[in-house]
Amino acid sequence: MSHVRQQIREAIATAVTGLTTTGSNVHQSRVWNFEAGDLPCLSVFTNSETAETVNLGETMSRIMQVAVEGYVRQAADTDDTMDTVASEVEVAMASDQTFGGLARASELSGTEIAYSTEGERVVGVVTLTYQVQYYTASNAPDTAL
Amino acid sequence: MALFTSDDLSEFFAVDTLGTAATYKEGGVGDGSSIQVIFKEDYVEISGGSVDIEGTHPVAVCRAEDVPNAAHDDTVTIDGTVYTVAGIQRSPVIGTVRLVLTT
Repeated sequence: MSHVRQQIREAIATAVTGLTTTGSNVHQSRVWNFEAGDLPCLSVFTNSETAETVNLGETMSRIMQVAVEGYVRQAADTDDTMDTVASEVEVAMASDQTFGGLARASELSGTEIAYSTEGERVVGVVTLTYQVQYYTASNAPDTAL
Repeated sequence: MALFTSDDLSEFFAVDTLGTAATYKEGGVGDGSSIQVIFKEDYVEISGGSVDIEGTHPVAVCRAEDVPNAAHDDTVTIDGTVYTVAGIQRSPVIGTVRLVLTT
């Protein structure tokens, strides 16, 4: 078994795989540079989480921040493509907000869009941040409640 | 007044020294003009989100007299690749123009 956080991250990566724009170019917690040919692509990050105990310390209530980053590189209309990527991700993420019962709920909490013109083509990054709530027993973080 | 004469710059930009043959088209249209440029395409890491993207930063330096009306969206063809001018840095003292290019 693996931590529920990992299970949710993997479920999200599966949910956003096969979208029209980014296809199978989906990564989890990517740390190394992308090559130009890797784009458009998505990368899923689970970078932070808050937790508190409930039920006299037996249960952990957790709210995890999940970032789905979409990377686009093209000569023109980068904004349109980033909005298309965002739309496809939002639809995929809404199709099962519990990710197969691992989470109690998930919702989009914000979207950020950034551009870079340092290279030969414009690179755009759209970051969709989700809050995902899930429960585990305090002594069993690998099993969702 | 420029530091270098036209002949001085011509030596730098000659294809048998530092130069590369290029075709410059104002607005990207017409037959354009044949010029020599000093072309660089350095590796850059382009800032992304959590991850950077590998890329290049193409730049062409020209004699100012070869591109007197240089403007954004002009094109420069070098070794078969058509680049679009996205930035112009004039250097009147030296007598050159540095073109930032995109593909």
